[in-house]
Amino acid sequence: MITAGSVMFAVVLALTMESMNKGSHEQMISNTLRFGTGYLQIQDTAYYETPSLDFSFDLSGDLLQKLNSTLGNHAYAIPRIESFVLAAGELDTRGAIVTGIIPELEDRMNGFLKFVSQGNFTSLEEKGVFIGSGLAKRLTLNVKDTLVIIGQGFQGMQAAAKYPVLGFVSHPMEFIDNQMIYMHVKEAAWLFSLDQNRSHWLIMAENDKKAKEVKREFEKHLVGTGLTILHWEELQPDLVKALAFDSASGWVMQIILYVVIAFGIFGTILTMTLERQKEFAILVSLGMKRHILALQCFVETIMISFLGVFIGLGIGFPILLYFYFNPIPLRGGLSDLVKEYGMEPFLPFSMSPSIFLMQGIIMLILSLIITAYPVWRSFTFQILKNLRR
Amino acid sequence: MPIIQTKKLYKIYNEDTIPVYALKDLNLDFEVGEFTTIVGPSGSGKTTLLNMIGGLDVPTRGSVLVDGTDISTLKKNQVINFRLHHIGFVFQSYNLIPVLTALENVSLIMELQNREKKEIRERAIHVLEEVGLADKLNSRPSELSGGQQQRVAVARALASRPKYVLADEPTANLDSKSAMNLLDIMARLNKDESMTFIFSTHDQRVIERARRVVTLVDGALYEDLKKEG
Repeated sequence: MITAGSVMFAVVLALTMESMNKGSHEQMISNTLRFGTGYLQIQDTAYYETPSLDFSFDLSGDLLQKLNSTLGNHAYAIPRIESFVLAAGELDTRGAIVTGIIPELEDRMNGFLKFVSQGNFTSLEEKGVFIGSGLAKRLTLNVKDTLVIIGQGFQGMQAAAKYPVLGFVSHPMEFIDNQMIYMHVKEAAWLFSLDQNRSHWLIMAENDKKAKEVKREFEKHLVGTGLTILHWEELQPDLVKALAFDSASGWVMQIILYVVIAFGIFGTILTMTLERQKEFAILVSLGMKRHILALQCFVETIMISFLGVFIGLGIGFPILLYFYFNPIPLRGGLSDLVKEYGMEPFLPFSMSPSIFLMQGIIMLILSLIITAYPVWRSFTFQILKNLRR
Repeated sequence: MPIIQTKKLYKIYNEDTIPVYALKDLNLDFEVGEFTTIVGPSGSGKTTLLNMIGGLDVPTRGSVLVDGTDISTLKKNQVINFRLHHIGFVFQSYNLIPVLTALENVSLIMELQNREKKEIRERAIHVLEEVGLADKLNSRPSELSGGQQQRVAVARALASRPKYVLADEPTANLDSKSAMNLLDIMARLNKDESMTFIFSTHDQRVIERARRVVTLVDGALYEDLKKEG
């Protein structure tokens, strides 16, 4: 029971740690995908280096049909217009980013509605804007006030207009809260004189595997068009590097944890084996062959480990499920730090099946290695010495 | 025709530094169906001799021949096999497996011999009845008195019908009544099933029942007395 308990606690501990680690990675990726790049982006080949509206393009006709047929039911495309502007209230002017969106697609993509703190988001069909609550505060704007926008449109055209503020968006990610101006993509096209052009198209897919399939399939159709389709890893190389670095440091921590866990389990197995030396000696003195005894020890230890692993997984699952739906809120400086990195101030947990599978397998491998001790002991202990214990 | 022979048997500890002779030039023959006690003061080599005959210990010099085979030349698994099929051990401290019931303890050797389950159960119950423990089949050692535990140990040793029973001070921890009961059981089996019994003992009651008394002093043979009739 002690050994099974030791394995069980080890599994729960390892699961929790891996779930937190993976959860924060998933959150970073998810935020990037949902509020930034999407899984894929169709861009002009020059746009990635120079994100200017001059490299906007019209994706319509035959190419749009091919895109839709490639996407099927597993993915969808969202046209976007994004450009830097100066935004002014009555007294102040601030730099901001105009994002032209289609409200229902935006909500489908990132659940945008839940971040709308004031106003009716569907009213964005009308002429008007939603702005980040941080930006509103900086410009001392209220709903129904007028926002003035001045920027540069397509090929040097002036982009200037006045818009009523229809509502606010309060988002934990500071760059959204402090900089974003949302308007309908058609309105943004008019503002920047883009006509049917869009700065880029985002593609959201069911998962990364589907996204990669879409990229592989659709890039064939882009040959000779001057357009390209980029995966989020190509769009966010810094994030990929940061995740790789974090994974490496996470692995170091995991290895330290596994060493601690392994010694914990080994301690219980060692005690169990030494306590049973007399029993082993009796069995061999009565006629049990040592390899049979070793096999018995092996099977026993593995069964105990299996028991511990399965109970650990059974206990770990509801714990992780609880924290998955109720992530731990971060407070104080840590919260600010996380927000600076564009993440929500929560310690998220992952429920990826791979965590349960991997931790279960790792624990069984550890147990298997530790099993070597009682097996070795079965072959080497001295009968007479242990009979006298 | 002797079935167990010790030839120039030596067991020496610390041979390279200060040698201690546990057994010294011991030459003994044991016949089929003997009821023999090995006596002598503490440290005279009684237990060491039994361990040598049972293949639990190896001689420093000399040999132990059982049915003409020198058991010290056998491989480890062959020695274990030899013990499993030919020898029944009764230890002074019983050495029962604490997590097993009396019935399971007695069945253990027969299970290791891969006998039929039905046969194992019937034989184990029969032997436990023989030693007067019919009502303790499902008791664990911790639920039994010292005398009862020793009777389970004897039942375990006898259940597989070994050729030889080696008993190391089997009555040492028993009261007078339990000791006599145990001796009665072993004497009956010796007579009925022709098992060869070799005891090490200090117990005068055992010595009186034995037909042969081998006395060891400082590891050497001091006296080998065979009683008439």
